[in-house]
Amino acid sequence: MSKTVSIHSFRGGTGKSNTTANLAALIAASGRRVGVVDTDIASPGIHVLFGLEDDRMVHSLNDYLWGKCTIQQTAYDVTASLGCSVDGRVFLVPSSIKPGEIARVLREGYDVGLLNDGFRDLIQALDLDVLIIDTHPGLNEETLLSIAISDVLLIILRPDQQDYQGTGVTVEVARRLNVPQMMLVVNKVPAVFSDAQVKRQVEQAYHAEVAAVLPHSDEMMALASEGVFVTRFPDHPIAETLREVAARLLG
Amino acid sequence: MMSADMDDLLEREMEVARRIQTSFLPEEMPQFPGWEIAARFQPARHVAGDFYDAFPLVQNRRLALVMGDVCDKGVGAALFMALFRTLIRAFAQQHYALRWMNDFSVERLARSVDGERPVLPSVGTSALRNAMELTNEYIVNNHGSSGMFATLFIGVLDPTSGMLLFANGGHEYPILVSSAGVTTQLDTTGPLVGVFPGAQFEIQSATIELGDTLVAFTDGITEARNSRDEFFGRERLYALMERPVSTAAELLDRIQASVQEHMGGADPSDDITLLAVRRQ
Repeated sequence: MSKTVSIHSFRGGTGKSNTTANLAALIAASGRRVGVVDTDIASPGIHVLFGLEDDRMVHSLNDYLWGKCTIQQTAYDVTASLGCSVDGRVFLVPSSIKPGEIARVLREGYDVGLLNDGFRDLIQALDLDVLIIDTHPGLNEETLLSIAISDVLLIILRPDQQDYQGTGVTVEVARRLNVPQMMLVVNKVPAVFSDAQVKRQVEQAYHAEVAAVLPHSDEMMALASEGVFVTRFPDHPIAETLREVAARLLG
Repeated sequence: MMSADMDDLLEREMEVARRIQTSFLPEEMPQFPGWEIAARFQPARHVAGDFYDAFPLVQNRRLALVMGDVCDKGVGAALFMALFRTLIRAFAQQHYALRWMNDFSVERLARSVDGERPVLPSVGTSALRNAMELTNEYIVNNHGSSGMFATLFIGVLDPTSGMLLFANGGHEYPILVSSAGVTTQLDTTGPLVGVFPGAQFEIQSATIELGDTLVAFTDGITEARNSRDEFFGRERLYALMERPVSTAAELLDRIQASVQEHMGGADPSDDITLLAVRRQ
């Protein structure tokens, strides 16, 4: 039985795509077949973390939505980009990075049922254990559909008043959509903050479980999306914490 | 102007109207491998309130099938037929962001069982809902005082699987016919279109298997009368459908000939429209 996980943050810059890529790598390391779909059509980026160059991107999610190809044809095996041997596989469905194609989707829209059917077909065709959806910040068509179909919603936020307010909106929507499991990850926490206190305050505010409190990391910043952190720094405390989050997602 | 001249002028104008109305029907049917689509259209007067349509959706991944019957007959009905047909085509091919989220409104969720996951849009459901509900709203809001409305059936067919999503706003039940006879009636899923503000239309599904034929029609068929004032009725119609047939066109010719025979060669008192979709 496969599991669908949406990773979302209400505001941008929380480290959502980074967290998505890291969790995908960790789940693949446990021998699972993982699909990652970049539904951030307006501002795609996770393909960078997996080293998928533009010239290798023959088809994107956009092409599937326009009927140019099947969803399977948009999936790239990016396992080798992890730079280490893993028992599982990671497949990435990127969104187009071409300005004209981004504008076209935003201008014309598409039948949102294509995403729903596409996710299902992808899981079946690639025999996925886990499908991770990297969503667009805020609430839009793709994000709401992704949340609505997910078994688990992982919300990323920073300890910031703007993030706190926005996260409340996402939590409320997820509850209305009856998402079976919801977890929060507080990311980029300054060293002066107490992890335990942050965890307690956030859990009290949203009545939802905080799966991890991740500190701000200079190593992560210095990596600058030129790879997946947990495969470069497998013994780093952040990698260890994310490993626990990955285990929770699978559990 | 002499009365005869007036008659000639009127006749010419009506002929123009007939030609224009015909242009609102599909010039030719969309082609999908493994499928045959046929239609028949016979107005009671020069022009009709009946209409049918068939057009591809979602980059040829789906086929929309439409059958409608605007109340009344003649010029008034024909003008509204053009409006309905245009609105349906336009709304079915527009994407209204987050419109599907209406299903998650507080009111609807309050009615759902606690913990129940929402039913999510599949390919074509948004098009179907938009075409039915937005057309209804447009007619109600802009032409409510005219008292005009339509019965309307819209299906969205997946030509690969044979899955048909449909909504039926008070229209004569279309029928699915297999080699075993009439298997399914595609019942009403909502009210007449253009009457009730905020009307909702449930989406249901059926599957057209290999060798099956979907037949949609207007009440000009079932309510065609003979000299004894007897309706043609569904019983006669079903009997015709249950006889073996090799093409959709052959089936429609058979039905049309039988209805003509029933009427004893008289002109129809109502518009007669048929649409058949056969999976070969």
